[in-house]
Amino acid sequence: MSTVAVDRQIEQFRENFRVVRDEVSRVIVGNDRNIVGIMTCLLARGHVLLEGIPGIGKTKLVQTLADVLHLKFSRIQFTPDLMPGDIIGTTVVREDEAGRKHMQFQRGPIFANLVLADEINRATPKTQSALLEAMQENSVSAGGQTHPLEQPFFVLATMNPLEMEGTYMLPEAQLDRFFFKLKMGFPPADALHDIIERTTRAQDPVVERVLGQGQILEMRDTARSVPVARPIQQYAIDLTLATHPESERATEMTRKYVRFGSSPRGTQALILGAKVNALLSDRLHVSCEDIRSVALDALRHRILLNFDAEADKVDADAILSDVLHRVKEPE
Amino acid sequence: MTQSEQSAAPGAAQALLRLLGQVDRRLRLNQTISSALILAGLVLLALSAWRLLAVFNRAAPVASALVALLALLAATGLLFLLGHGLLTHRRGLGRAAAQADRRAGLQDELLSALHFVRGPHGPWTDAQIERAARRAQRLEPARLARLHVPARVLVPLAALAVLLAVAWRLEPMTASVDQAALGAGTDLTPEEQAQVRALQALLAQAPDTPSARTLRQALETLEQRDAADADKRRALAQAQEAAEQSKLDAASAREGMYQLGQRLRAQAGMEEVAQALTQGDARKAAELLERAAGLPAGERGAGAPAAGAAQPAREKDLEKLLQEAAQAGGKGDADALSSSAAMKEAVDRLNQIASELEVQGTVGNSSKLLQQLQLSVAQRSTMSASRFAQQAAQNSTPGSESGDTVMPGGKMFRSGAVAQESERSEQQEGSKSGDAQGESVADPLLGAKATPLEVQLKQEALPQPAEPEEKAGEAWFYAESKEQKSALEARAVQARAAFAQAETTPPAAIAVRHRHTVKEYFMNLREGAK
Repeated sequence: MSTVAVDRQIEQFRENFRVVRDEVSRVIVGNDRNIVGIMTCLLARGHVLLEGIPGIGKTKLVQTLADVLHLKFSRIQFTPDLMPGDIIGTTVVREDEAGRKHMQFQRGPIFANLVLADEINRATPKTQSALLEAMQENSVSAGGQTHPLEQPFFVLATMNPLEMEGTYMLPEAQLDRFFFKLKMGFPPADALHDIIERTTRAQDPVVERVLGQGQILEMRDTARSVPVARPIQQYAIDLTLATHPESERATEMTRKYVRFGSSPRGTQALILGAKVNALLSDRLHVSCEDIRSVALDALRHRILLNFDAEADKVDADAILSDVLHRVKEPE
Repeated sequence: MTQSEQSAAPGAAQALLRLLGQVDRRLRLNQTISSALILAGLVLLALSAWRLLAVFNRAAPVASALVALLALLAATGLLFLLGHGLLTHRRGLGRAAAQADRRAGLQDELLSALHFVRGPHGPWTDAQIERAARRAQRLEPARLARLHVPARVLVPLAALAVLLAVAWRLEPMTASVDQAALGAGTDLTPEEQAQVRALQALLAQAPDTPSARTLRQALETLEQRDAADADKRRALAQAQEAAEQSKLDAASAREGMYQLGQRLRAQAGMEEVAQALTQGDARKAAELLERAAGLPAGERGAGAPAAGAAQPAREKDLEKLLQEAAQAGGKGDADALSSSAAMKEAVDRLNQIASELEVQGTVGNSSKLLQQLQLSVAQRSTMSASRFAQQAAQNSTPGSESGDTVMPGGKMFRSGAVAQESERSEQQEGSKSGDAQGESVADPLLGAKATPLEVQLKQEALPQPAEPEEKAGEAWFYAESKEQKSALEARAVQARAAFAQAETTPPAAIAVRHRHTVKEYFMNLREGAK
């Protein structure tokens, strides 16, 4: 591949990304950062956990994205009585034309490209783990058979930080499976005007399908091709180690408030997210700034805080901001 | 440049490495300039310190010490800057690339390209290197790494230059100020020298008594140019003590004469002598006695012995001599010879007392002059305020005339002192000046005769006689319990701490809890003196 081809590939990547973002923005207002975050996860082969209060458009955002991408979409509303079989599918007895009966695997809603796991914390841990296992393995085992999931396989789970009664918090090990944890905040006043105008008209805005399955897979390969220099990689590692209280690179705040730091998956997420970010900035290399821009989303759910943090009302974002402030860039 | 560096994208890599090499050279030059300026700063600092020390010389020891200390601190700071710059300065193209990225806002492009040049290659890395090289060709090394001196080096250097310029213009301090500030030997002012000369003239007329000797030594110490202020203060304190002692001796002699006069009043032919004695005029009493005995006038001068020769006469009681003389005056010629001898001895004794009183008066008069000298010497020295106040305060001894005692808290009147006595004493006969007559030890606040608090406390700690109840149980064997043992150890520790505190407390500031003890000690001493 020549240099010109690389440049063309990057240009194509950026153009596709821009088209998707513009199309989603026709429906979703004031959430550009989250749109970019979700797209980054999709292109980095990760999954997203969306956290936000009810009614701010979490589900709408995912549905719009599914409409824009020419992908198979399914939505699972997680409830306490949801069973693993309801997600991955079940084996049923079928009778053929000859009257012979045989077992057949009936695929569940997880067999889609884009899966919306709405309010994932309302289901039992057993059901949650069925989804999370599929997320990790990219395949489903049922009736003694393994069924690979079609690529791209992308899960968007939403979680409501309020109404915690009767919910099952995701364990840290399962949270770690999510590439990014995005927080959806309340839209600003200007954005609210746009939301009201767009959603109270006679017709809702309609989006077009602008990106197909093949293009997405191509974009995924492009994102992975971006090279990372060793010092930049070292910076990502330093950031990860700085979240470990027992590490000598840990900051004072980390030592005080963190029980367990980020896993190596966190570093992977930093680098992959930074690669997508570098491409979006029309760069062929990853910079420290790229890593910093994705650090909060990639690491906030991978840090386990201790009781002192709870007592002092210190959240993971504050600790990560401190880490980003203190860890020095390579020289 | 390694083989791998040349193999991939050679033209681009060359351009990139050329730029980074130029930037690296400029960064090194910057570092060298900084180090050289820090060294220049050290030289400037040394010159400034040398000049300031020469200006202050011995005239201002505090300022000199401060200059030396500040110079040391500044030198340490400059050396730290130098060491920090040399140790933390990383050389190489990596640092140059990071610096260039930062200056040009390239977001690690050159740094990444440098690492890609050195590492394995692929289409993406080659593309990145080419991009970085294209950008590098547009960059100017002179703008990426400007030759400059950091503010942390430039500011101290400028300050040192200004300091040196100021120090160079300062005139060295004069020698007189020099000596005064050093405190090694404070010269006396003309007024003080006049006071010293007046005192020396007074003492030249006085006989050679211990008080006079102490005073002479003190004056000699004051006149010495190389004597330290501390020595002068000590000599003045001793002289002051001698003057006070002299006052006490005079008071004692007058009191004795008064009592003698009272007792002789009833003796026939001794009325006038007794009256003169009561008035404290020993010279007049001697003349009256001479006249009554009809001694030749020439013997009166010879009868005034020197202080050294009068020493055996002290052993005899003047009263007895006078009574013998009075009784002999009424008898026949057979006793005339012996009465003449007794009378002559009494006259000699009275003349001696009169001479001693004059000397003591002379020495006592010098007390005020001494006090003024003490004040002036103390004010010039670096003595602490409390110590100065203590030395400047009047001595708490009873006055020779009235027996009243001027104390820092007020004045203790003789009547009050008498009223404090629990038993009648000889001195209580109208005055408490028995203490003032020299029968008590010297005042403990100043001088060598003071008993140290340590000794006083040891005396206080003497074991008390056992109580009768304890004696009854002497046949019993008591083993101390752990509690008793620990309590005793605790008391021992507390006593040591209290003793140490008492040791460190200045004489004038006796701890409140020890004041009663000290008072009791002196009261006991006075009782013992009876």
